[in-house]
Amino acid sequence: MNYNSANRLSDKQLVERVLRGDHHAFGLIVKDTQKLVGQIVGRMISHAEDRKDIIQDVYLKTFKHLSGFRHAAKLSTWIGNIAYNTCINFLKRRRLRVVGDEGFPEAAAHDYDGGTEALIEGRELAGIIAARIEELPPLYKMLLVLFHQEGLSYSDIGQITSLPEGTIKSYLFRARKQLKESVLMQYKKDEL
Amino acid sequence: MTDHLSEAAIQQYAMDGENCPAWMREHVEACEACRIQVDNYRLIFKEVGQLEVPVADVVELVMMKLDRPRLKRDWSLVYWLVGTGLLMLGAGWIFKASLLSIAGDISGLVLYVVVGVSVGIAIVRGLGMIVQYRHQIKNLDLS
Repeated sequence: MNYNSANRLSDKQLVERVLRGDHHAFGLIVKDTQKLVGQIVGRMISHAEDRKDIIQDVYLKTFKHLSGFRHAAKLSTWIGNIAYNTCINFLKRRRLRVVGDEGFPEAAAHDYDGGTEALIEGRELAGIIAARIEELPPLYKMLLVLFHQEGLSYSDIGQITSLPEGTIKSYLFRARKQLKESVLMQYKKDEL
Repeated sequence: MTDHLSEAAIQQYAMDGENCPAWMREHVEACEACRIQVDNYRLIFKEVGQLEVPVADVVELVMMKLDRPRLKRDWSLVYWLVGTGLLMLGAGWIFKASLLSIAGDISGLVLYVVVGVSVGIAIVRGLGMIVQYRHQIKNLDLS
């Protein structure tokens, strides 16, 4: 079946259609939100098979609880919240860490002893960043891509994660810093 | 230049330099070390923005799961209870005379206890079997 969302329907219209029994409308919802859900699940969960199961679980939960959606948030962020909570529960069950355990870094002047190396754009750098981002804690990875790739606002991210805006900002700060340091370290190693 | 921008300020400048205060812009323009840090962050943000989405198209996968025909309502428990009841009534009817003579020989209280315990055990064992059967069938559902 072709789930083409060319004729855009509002969240409300889509939800109403699904609640009337139109499964095709649910397919449109999946199509519209699968990138966001993919980013959340894909960054939080490292094993590909687990990702697939969790994504199915997310949409089955969405389908089951759609009648409870009150349109207080965007449908996509509501589904994003289901995806996030499903991932968090999965990680907790497996006793896996969600965020890093290092303290909040001081906003002091950065160390310039070895930090003045300039990165040069190219395939090599892209590869380093793709590999190094995978080393970050799941929540950091997810926040980075939601903010820098999906272009979501702090408020949208807050609705997805149920975290206060201040916490999101501080996690993002740590995530960016950690990623930069890790990339620079790898970059220098590769140069030697 | 010794007083460099803080890490937080560098990040802020890399994301939204135009809306940063003038003194910050002037500092970054004049300080090579801070400018390199800003450029590094900008490059990293750009690359993060181009990362591959880790999960591909899942629409068909989800819809297949959703469209899977629902299992019919399981009436096995009701059938089992009705069947057992009928069997017991039938047995009682056939052995009516014997049962009445046994019942005449023992006190009413003992009779109630024996019959009650027997029926209770039969129900508990039967329900246990049904629960186990359902659990095994669920585990076999590999889809």
